[in-house]
Amino acid sequence: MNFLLSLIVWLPLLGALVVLFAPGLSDHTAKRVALVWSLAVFVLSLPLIPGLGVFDGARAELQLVERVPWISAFGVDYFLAVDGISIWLVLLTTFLTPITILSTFDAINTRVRAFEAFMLALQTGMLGVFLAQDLFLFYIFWEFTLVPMYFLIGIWGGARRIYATVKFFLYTFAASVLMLLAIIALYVLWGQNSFSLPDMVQAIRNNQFVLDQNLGRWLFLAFFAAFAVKVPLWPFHSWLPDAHTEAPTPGSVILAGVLLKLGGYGFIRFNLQLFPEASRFFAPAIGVLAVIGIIYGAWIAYAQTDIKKLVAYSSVSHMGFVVLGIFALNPIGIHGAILQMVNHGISTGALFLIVGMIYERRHSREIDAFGGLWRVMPVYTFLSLLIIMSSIGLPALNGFVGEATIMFGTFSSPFLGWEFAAFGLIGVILAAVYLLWMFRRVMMGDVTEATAKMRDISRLELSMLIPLVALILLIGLYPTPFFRAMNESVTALANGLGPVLAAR
Amino acid sequence: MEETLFTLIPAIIVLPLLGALINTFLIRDGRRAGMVASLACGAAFVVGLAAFALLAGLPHEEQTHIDLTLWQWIDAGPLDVPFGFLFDPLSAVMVLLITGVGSLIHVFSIGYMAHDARPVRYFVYLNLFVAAMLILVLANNYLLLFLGWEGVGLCSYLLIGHSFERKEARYASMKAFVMNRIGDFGLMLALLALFQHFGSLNYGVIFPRAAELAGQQINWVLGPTALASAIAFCMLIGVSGKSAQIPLWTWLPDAMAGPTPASALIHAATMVTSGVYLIVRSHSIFLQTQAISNLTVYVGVATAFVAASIAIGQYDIKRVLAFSTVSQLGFMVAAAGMGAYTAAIFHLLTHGVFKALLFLGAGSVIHGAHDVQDMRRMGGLRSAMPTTFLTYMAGTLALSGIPIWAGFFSKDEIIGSAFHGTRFGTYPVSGTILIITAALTAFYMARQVSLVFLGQQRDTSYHAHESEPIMTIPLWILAVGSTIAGIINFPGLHFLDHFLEPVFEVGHAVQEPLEFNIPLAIITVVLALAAGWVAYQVYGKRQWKKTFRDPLARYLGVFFEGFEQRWYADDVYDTMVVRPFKATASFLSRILDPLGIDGLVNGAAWLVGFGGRGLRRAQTGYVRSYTLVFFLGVIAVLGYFGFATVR
Repeated sequence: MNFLLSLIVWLPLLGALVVLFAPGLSDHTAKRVALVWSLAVFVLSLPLIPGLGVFDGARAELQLVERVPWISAFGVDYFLAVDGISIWLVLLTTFLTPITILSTFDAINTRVRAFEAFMLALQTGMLGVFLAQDLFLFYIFWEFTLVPMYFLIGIWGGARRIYATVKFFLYTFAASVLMLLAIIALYVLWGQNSFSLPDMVQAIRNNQFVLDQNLGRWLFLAFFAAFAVKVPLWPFHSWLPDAHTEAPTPGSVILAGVLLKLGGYGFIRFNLQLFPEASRFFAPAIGVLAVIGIIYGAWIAYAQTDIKKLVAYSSVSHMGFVVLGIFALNPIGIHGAILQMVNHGISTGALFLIVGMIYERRHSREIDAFGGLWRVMPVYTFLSLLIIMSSIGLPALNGFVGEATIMFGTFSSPFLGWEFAAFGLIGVILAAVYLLWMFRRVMMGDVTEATAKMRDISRLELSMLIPLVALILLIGLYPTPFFRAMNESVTALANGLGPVLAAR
Repeated sequence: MEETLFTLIPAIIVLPLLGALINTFLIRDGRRAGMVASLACGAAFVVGLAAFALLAGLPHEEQTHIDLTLWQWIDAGPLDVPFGFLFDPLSAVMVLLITGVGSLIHVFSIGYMAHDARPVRYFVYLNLFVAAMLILVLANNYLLLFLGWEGVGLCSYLLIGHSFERKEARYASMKAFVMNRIGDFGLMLALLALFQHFGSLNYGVIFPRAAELAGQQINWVLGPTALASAIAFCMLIGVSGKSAQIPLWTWLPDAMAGPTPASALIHAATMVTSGVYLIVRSHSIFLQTQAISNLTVYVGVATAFVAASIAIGQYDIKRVLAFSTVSQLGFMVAAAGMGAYTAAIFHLLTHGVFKALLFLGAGSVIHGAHDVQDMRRMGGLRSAMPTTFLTYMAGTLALSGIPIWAGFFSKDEIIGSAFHGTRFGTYPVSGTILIITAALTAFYMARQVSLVFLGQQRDTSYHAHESEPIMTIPLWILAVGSTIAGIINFPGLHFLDHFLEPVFEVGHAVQEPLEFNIPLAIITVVLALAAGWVAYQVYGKRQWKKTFRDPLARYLGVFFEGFEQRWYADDVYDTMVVRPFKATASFLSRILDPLGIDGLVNGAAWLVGFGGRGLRRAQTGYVRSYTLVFFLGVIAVLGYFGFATVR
């Protein structure tokens, strides 16, 4: 099965073409075809689960390597592989896509075939980003994810969709051009006529490829720009609330669920591996930005009247934790950051789903339009509470495990330290403030005339939330298998950052 | 024997959890849910009792080694946390209190919640709470303790907000959760620092090595500080949140918006005592820092006194008890700060019994008086509710510290420790304030009994009735408990002292059992009796109108106003914290983010791409061609570099 990764990457794109061009496909069928297709991809990705088959969590190096020369003139390879850093993000993507497509059943009623096609195409792009080990190939996948998202927001979005989508596109595109320049520079400087990331990293660790300190820092910043916008790290976040507010529910779910993680993943895979010195140099400054983002996002979330915008700003806050964990530059912090990316994908994806559900019923996302849902929609509210508590970081649920691990990493990091942890923890307090404030006004209180007729959760909606809730509990109570599968790769990566760091 | 224990201990936690699951998914009928929940909690008590007996039978030195790991909870490189439990004498007595008093409250609730709109949910929360609280006291490491710690916070939130149609319930539930979270912030910081130093969060690793903290210092804004002090201080923040001490105490009185039996269990007998448990559990750390131990004493004493003064000025039957709880928690925290750990646990246990009794009694009154809570509308309920009155008296006598009732022994042990001295020295001023507070306690309790049960019924618009047996039987059991519970650490016998000794040997914190101080006992009893007599003269002898103003208001003036208005603590927090927070949120959201940060972004975009043409036109389609040009440009650059390299 040495083509398993290629199969997983390209199958969705094939599905997109089928959904788009198959003759006589009704909207109704298109949705089901897309769902079955994405489920097939998910099933194919199951053997990747560490311990179940082809992926060995006890190994640090890249596995399931597929490498063939592609554009030999420039030394570009078609090079896919997976390791402990990307394995859970790949599985997160294949797991979330069917759920997202399920959410289109209610949310999308116009140009359905195109929508499903874009969703599937987007999946190819995202999986490609997580799996590509060739810088050039990575960049192509990276830019490729922009196109479907651009249309998902631009065609199916709300009133200000054009503004939002153009801003999303230009902002992320402009930042990634900087990364492209840095990639080219690395290629030229290395002079081995190769874009292979693992080879380049190896050369850097062996001192065969030595970057000038200043130049290394500049190149670090170029990569940093692309990823910081994507995460988004404060103050590069302002495209996110607009994009989320305008995007249709499935678009928001996949945007928060997976697309933001491309940034966090990029930090780990590229910034940390390629520029150990610059990583150490910039870590405190980036930590400051992350902490500001944690508090700032949470604080602003509290002032929102639109539930979706509240969740969007909560993402700014939560992704701040991820960045903090990464730039703790120690194994604990990176463990936590990777798990927290998965957690955020699950919890925030679920949050956008539950917002979408009441939007479908009430055609409003204003907090003031609701009240007393706990009485009319008890099952829905019960699940919402669980998801909200996971986002708040209640122990025994997934969010806590990630955030606490990040905090332990931050506190013991020689580059960050207790001040960063203390300020980060303020964000944990604020998460309870804005989410419970929302819960109080939407779910508690008396039923109003408008909310009295809202029906409780449907079976379709239940089938979207149950898998997410199950994972919320599983990761909360037994995250050990998740950590163990990444342990070797993360430790090896931390070793590459300097001998001091591996000790803690 | 140890193997039996290893199977019993998880069962203690699993049973209430099972009850919660059964009620969530299978039961729809309130009464039946109550039975299931009570059965689950009762079974946990029986198992706990068996485990307790087994533990007591073990040799002294083995009693602190019943440590089992169920599974590896977190295993992230060096961070290694088990999902494991420690069953030692300290957790054993806590388990018995939680499940024992808990069971009675479950049974009482069946009657009390009979007319509630959502009784099944209530019992789910109650069972879940018991499970979380058991995890808190049984955890063998700090992170699992933290799981229980926040878990009980969640259940408290759910129970306070149970009647979420009522505004005060909604607000109180959120206030409770957030204030607890502020406390948890401190506790979490303490955990981070402990891990940083010891590389582990397990009690078994940290406590034997706690002395290492002594010489360590950290540098921060205010200069170098002893590491032990920093850690203990952070823990104290957590204690202040959970156990409602100054400054994070204002959530507890509001928490009375929850159903009364829930207040009895969570906001009186168990959850709020977890702060005291935390200090006692962490005694080896607190022993390293005289400064923070002193601070703990002062916080406890100040809270005890201030809350008792507020209790005098309340008219709501539950509020009086709420402030009384805050005040009694102050006693326990003060004792724990002094290093009188057994005294703190002793009072925790007796208070758990008699305060649960008082709350359930108040619940019985409210139930029988058709949801009237204002004591001014009561009066003369003695004749309508004889059982409730009689049992309530047992609780009152216990709380007021009248011999032979339980509170007399436990409270006296705290006051005695303050004067007699501990390893930290004596606390004569604190002890004196505590004596005065004890007298105030007797005063407000006599006031309450006079207003509720004595005289004539002032508001005759309702017909009070005695509660049904399912509610009165738990009252009787607790009344007997409140009367005889002093036996568990009776002077001269010192059962509890001896039983807990192994726990304190680990941190070298064993104290000689305190001998009974007869002059001190005479002083406190005489003062308490005198205060009670005065209150009876003022409130019990006259027939008041149903809208009367407290006669003390005339004599105490602004002071009484302070009592009544809880010393304006809520207003101060509102002005100094809540409102600035909201205003800043609004500023960030309306001005800084859209005009500042986003303004910069849009401005940059305008400068780069759309200068002169204007954003509006650019938004309508030009951008696509623009990005295309951009993209082609990049490819050209790429091509050039590639070409140059190949050549």
